[in-house]
Amino acid sequence: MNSWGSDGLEGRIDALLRLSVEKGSEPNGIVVKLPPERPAFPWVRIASVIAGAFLLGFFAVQLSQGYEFPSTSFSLSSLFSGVSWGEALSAAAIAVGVIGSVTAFIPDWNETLRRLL
Amino acid sequence: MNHRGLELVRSAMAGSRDSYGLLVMDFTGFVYTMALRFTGDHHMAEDLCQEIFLKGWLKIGDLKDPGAFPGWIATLARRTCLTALEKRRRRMELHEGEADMENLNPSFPESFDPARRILEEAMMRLTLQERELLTMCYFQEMDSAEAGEIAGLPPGTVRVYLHRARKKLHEILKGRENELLG
Repeated sequence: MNSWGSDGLEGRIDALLRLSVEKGSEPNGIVVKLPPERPAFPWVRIASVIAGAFLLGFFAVQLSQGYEFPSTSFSLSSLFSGVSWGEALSAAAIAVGVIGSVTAFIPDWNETLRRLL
Repeated sequence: MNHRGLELVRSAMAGSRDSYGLLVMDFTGFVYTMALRFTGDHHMAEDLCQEIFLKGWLKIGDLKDPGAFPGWIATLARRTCLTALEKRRRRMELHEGEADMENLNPSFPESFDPARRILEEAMMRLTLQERELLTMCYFQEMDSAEAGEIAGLPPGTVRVYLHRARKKLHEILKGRENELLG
């Protein structure tokens, strides 16, 4: 922006006006606080955990029934055939326990769970 | 805007909070000064600064052209300040217009140096429109067409108002050269 006159006052006003809108022209102590970044929902991790829990549950059931893995049919209908509610609950409890123990030791999972809760 | 600024805007548009934080640091001076000259109140300007940048963070995804960021933030600042002024006017039941601003005893921060304080006191004796245009036209070398677009005025009118505002400022500050140089 050009000055608009001939004497030193115009030049000084011009300079002051320019300085007053530049970076750092705000008074000391002005801090703009932005909201914390919203964590992206960890869909991939959730899916991995569910898949892991499913497999753990499956193996737990198989072990509890004393099956031999090579002879096991892996179709969904046959996987859990003959599994009692008690066995299924025990398997689920084992899976949840194992997953809970593992995730409790992963710091960023702690943070994600804390935010979700 | 320079290359660094454009990169920061692009990154902030993509959701980077850190980049937006750096933009905030670059533009706080302008936004605060704009709010101060609209309100004449340091504390209100401080609050408005927070509000403007928060709105900016929520809306930056809507920005189409990164190069338009300075004008965009100026528009956001202007609208937010006008809304705040309107609320204050209603609250104080003042409907006589800008002249009442002078009766509000402007407050400036302690950390302003004497020259800046003198300048801001002189600015408060101009009309709101003159203060607004002077602030915008010294920000990133904004021309009268851009400033006019933001303020809703034709470029020719902006130039006339600016000339008048500078002359008034000169008249107000005449005889205080030494203080301004100090």
